[in-house]
Amino acid sequence: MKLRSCLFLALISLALATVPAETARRPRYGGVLRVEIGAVVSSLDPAAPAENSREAAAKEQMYALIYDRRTLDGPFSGVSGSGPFQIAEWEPGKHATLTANDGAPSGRPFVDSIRIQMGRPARDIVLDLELGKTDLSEIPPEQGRRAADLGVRVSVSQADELLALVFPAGRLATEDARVREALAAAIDRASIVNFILQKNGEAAGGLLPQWSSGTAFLFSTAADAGRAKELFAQIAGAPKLVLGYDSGDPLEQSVAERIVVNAREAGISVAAQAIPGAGAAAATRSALDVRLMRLRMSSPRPRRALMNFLTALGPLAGIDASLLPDPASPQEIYDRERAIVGSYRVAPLVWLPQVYGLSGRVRNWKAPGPGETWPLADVWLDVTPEAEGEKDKL
Amino acid sequence: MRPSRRILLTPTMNFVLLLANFSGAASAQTSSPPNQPVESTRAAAATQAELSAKWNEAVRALAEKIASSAGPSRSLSIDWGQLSTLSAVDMAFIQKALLDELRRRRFYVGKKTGVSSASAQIELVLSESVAGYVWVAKIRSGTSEATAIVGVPRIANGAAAERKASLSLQRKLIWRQPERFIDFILPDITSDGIPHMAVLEPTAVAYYNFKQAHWEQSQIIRLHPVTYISRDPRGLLSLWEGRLDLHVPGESCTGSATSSLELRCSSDLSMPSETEWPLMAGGEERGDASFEKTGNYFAGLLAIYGDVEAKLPPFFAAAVLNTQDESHWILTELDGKARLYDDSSRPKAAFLGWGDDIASVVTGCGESWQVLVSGTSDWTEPDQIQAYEIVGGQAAAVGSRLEFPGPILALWPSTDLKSVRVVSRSLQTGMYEASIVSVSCTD
Repeated sequence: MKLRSCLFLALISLALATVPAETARRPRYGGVLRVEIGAVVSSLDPAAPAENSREAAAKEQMYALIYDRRTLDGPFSGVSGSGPFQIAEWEPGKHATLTANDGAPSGRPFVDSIRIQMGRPARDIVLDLELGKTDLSEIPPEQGRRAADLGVRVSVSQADELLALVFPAGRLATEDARVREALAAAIDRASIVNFILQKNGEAAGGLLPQWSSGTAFLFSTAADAGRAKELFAQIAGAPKLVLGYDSGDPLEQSVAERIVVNAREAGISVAAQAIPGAGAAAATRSALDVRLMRLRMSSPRPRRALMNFLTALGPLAGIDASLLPDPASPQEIYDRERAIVGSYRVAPLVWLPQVYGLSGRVRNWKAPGPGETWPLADVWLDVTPEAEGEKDKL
Repeated sequence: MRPSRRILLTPTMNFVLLLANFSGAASAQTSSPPNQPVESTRAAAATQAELSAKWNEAVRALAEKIASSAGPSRSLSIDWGQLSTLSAVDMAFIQKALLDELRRRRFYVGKKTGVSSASAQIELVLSESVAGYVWVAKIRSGTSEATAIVGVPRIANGAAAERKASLSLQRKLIWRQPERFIDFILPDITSDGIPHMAVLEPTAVAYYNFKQAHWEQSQIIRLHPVTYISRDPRGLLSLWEGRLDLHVPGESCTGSATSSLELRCSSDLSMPSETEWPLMAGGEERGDASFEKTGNYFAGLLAIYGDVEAKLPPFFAAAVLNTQDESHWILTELDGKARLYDDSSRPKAAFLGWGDDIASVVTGCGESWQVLVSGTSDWTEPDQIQAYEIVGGQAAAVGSRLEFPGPILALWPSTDLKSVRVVSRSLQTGMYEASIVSVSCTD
């Protein structure tokens, strides 16, 4: 992470975050908040497993609306409807209507209800935002710039999701660390950020972003095709690598294809292979030499975020997932990060922000940070003439 | 892969110049640690001393790590980089302190003169994490390389803006706490000579004594408001002719605030609460308005003593202005506009671009009466107060605006004519803050 990159991204974020409606500030009660999501949620039963990571994330958001609190170990619990909203309508996989709970422990939400449409394609979401048919939606980071260009009000979180290459342990083709290092060095992260993400992300060298750890700048993000060629040339019987990516994720597909090109330029043979999401057959995944993975930070705190990453990656990549001291010093966190990155079992690629599109009448919206859920109980709708685009009258 | 070198590295001399340029800037601070009173000069000095102590401890830790990594080298060259929000003053202080500490440890610190086996090269970056500052030194000595990292807790560094203009607004930070509160009041007359303060929270009122430069809680009285809980709780403390009135939706209390807080509340007396909250202006109670107990606004029933009783649109706040001949009042209404009324109860003018919290003050400057107005936008952004004069049905901004580091949640006129009580929330610290904003005339 470089200072110039930081400043540039700050400018980009400012450019993307179009000016919100400028009327009064004290919250107004009432109105229906229209939300569209790409995920399909089949069941709100906490015991029902999610089909994929997007459904799991969407369920988590809905639980935060209908449950009062989480248990100590994380999941929401209690009685459905004990939270700020109660379920009024539920059509699995299609739509849900939640109404404000007058007796919510933290106070009644400002909006009367939330109407959630599920399974909306990203392109339709952007169109609906542009036409004012929806109030709030998540937009893929790579489409954030396009949405802003179309006049959609865009809210961008801090970059908190890591897209990384993970080398599963036990694969003959990648057991030699030089193979892993060569592929990591061959990747042009800057072009992924500039062209695929449309500058809506940051090149990643470490396992934590600069804003969280303060030490990400110590990790290089520069491509070094010469070094990659040199390393790969040292390996007898240069292996052909199979790179897996989530078949339902257009961003992962684009990045995988870019990696194949970068690798070829460095003399490394890589074939990209789409794999089904969470439901992928173990046999399919076991044939992969390297996988693209998205890792969302669970906390802004560096120790906790790193430990969650290591817990998730440890068994797969065979990396040291032992507990860091609590609290851990910045030196201890950096040393562990350096050891993992230096093993080339995980090659960080880019940090992605969460991007949201908002209608002009949404107020009190703050893009949630790692581990936070959408603050919909605090959102209110500005129905003043200015926010609705009406002409002034006394 | 080699670590990145593309951060901004600044030669040592630049920091010395910064020290000279910015050494006078620190006195503008008026912040204090949580639950501490703030009085600008004393607090600024205390904060600076605390700041220095914090830096010194971290500087020693970093110097220790550098010393142990520098090997046999007694000669160091340092390139500095900055990736944090530290001010130029702090950076200069840290640089000087580190150089002093290294020299005290008998290191020669000079300019970079190329790679030499006798010297260690240090790239020192003042960085920042979510938890605080992170100072990173990359030390190259001969063929060895080490990275030394020191974490430093972040120190709250709030600042109150103070601008000079034809009319100026000054903010005095009185109190801050992590729990939400909705109003506060400082009785100006006390029987024991000790300053007191009442802080109104949504379900309690706390009373404090000022002793040994600290506010100490002496009493807390639980309130029994309606079971309806609001995400935008409002309440009012008013002190008029020695009588303290307290209003929150569903509960009203009356009593006195002297050496202790004496309150009789509607719930204690099994009586319905008063829904009329007093309207203060010009240092006195000028009327009352009915508060909507399941909302965050006044219902529109308004009485201006001696002038009018009217049913007007619901509103968030009212400011009464008296001129020589007549009274006017301004209501910030739920449609986002502020409207000016006279005793005909019909709007005479509408003002756009005003926030929902307003209060009138009588300063004697310009048109004598001014309206202080909060900013627009919402609770996710910084706020401001701007003074306006109303002339011929037009609102004209006077003086510079006063910036707040987060939303203003309450703004009520004080009884001294020239100031208002402000409750705000700092987006930097998350603390709720009580401030007195006063107005003064300038040339």
